[in-house]
Amino acid sequence: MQKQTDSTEKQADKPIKTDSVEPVQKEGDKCTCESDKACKLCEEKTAQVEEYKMKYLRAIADYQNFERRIQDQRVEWTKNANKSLMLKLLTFLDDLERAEVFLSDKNLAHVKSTFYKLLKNEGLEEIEVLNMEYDPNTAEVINMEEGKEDNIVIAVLRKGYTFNGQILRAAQVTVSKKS
Amino acid sequence: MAKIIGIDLGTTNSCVAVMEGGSPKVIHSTEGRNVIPSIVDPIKNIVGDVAKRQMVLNSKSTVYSVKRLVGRKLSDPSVQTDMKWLPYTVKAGKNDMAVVEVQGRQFSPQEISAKILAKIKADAEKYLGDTVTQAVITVPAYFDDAQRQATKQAGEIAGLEVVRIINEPTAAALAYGLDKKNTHTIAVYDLGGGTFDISILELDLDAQSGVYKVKSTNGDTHLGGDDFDKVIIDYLADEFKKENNVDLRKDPQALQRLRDSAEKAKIELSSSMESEVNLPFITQGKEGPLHLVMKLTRAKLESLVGDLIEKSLEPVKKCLSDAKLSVSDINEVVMVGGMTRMPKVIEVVKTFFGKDPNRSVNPDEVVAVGAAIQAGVIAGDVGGKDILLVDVTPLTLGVETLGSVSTPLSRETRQFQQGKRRYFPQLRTIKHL
Repeated sequence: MQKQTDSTEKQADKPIKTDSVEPVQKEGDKCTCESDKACKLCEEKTAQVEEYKMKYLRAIADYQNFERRIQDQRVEWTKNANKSLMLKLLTFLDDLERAEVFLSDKNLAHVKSTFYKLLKNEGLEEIEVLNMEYDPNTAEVINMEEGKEDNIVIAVLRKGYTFNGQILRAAQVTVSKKS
Repeated sequence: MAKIIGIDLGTTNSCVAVMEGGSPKVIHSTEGRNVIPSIVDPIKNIVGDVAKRQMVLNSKSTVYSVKRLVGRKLSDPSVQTDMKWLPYTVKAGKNDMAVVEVQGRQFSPQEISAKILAKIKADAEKYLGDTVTQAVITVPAYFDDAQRQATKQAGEIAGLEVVRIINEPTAAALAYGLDKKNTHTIAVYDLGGGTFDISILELDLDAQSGVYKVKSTNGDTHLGGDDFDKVIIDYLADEFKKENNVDLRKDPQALQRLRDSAEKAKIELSSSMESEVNLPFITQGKEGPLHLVMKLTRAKLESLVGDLIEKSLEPVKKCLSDAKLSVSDINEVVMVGGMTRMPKVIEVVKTFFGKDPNRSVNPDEVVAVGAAIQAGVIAGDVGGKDILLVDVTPLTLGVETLGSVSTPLSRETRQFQQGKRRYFPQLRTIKHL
């Protein structure tokens, strides 16, 4: 029974190529129709069967691709189930960051740091961009200011983060332009 | 057999869909979004969201809204108008055709569009796990032959055989299956990110059934969601200035936060009556940090944007007049573009046409969905006029009668046959045999 299951699974894994389908009626097959009218009907039905067979095989191929995609997506969904919640929590983290700038309070800094550690344990990671060469994959330019060099991030207006290794939110930055 | 994809190559955003299992499915980009910004940096060869992020830094070399230039000469009045506000250089190329010049290199609009199509192709191939070589691409109904040829050329440069170019309003009609209902006259109201288009379509009785011809088209090339956002930003900034004597629009960081919040509030107010705009530590005042906390109601939003929505009705009236039709001649209205989610827009359109518009399909995706359906018809995945087999059961339905005798009512893979009768003395229905 195990063998049967294995071979069935192996067959299911193989993608069905709809290009290499054997025709229903092969060349050289003798026509056994009784009349021309019957022959014409036979040809029409054969063509119809070919069409349905192609559609059926295409549907099977679609389904196999769909199954494979769902498998991959399931892994992604599990990994990123908290993605939208994380995005919402980032707005609170942003407010704590801004409060820290304006208030310079040690206790507030401690609360912010504890909150960030909690999120980090769930897969959040800050993207380091400050004083580095600007990379559009990780940051969005909001403003430009004169500087000694071109294209260096001189201020981070809003931090960017990855979640489980993927970009969750790009940073918003000020970039230098040589005068 | 490889799939044919359907592409909505938009002015602001592009979208791609494909037929799968008899239904259209929108393909998400590698960035996880259902649309790709139609923005290209041809020197760095970056496209979409990544190109958008560096627009402010490289305004002269980041090309957007290139659709406004495709297939047009430099002397074209609309090109001359657009050149006044486009930050990148537009020059005359071969035969006076408009070309983009970036860092001394010239790119035709087809080459720029090709980079967007190449990204779409790559994302589609990743999703499907197979090579994609063919596509159906949509264009505005007002595109002339030169513009259509240029769009086809863009596809070819990107490595796609463009099997069909179809009109955007026609694609929207296909997405709602209006061709199957033989709906005679359709108005397509398309309010997107940067442009507004209105088209009147009529069923072409001379051609194959389900084909629509464009009777008339009109619009406003500078009316869209961005204008609505600006009105909200100005309102929030003006209210804040009244209270705190600080203009947030002068601070780039504050302005960006305002912009993000305005768009967020606009979207929220499509499903809620009220939205709170809460921006702590928005700027520094004389006595310390300042915060922006305001409630924006749907009624207030509607009063702010009412003029913009009314502005869209002028081209609609002109379009009807050009088609020599009245409002009562319109059988169906189709909504396209993200801004058509706004309840006030829906209400104004409903009041004007006197009927509920079709809006069940995601308005950001509806054109791509229609293109995918057309692609499916060409590929043979969808029978042109045939109904998709959505009502087929793979099971045999039957009834168990006394003595455990099963009597099939419907054999497998047949359509449900409604109204079939068979009499039994006593019966207990079962799911399947």
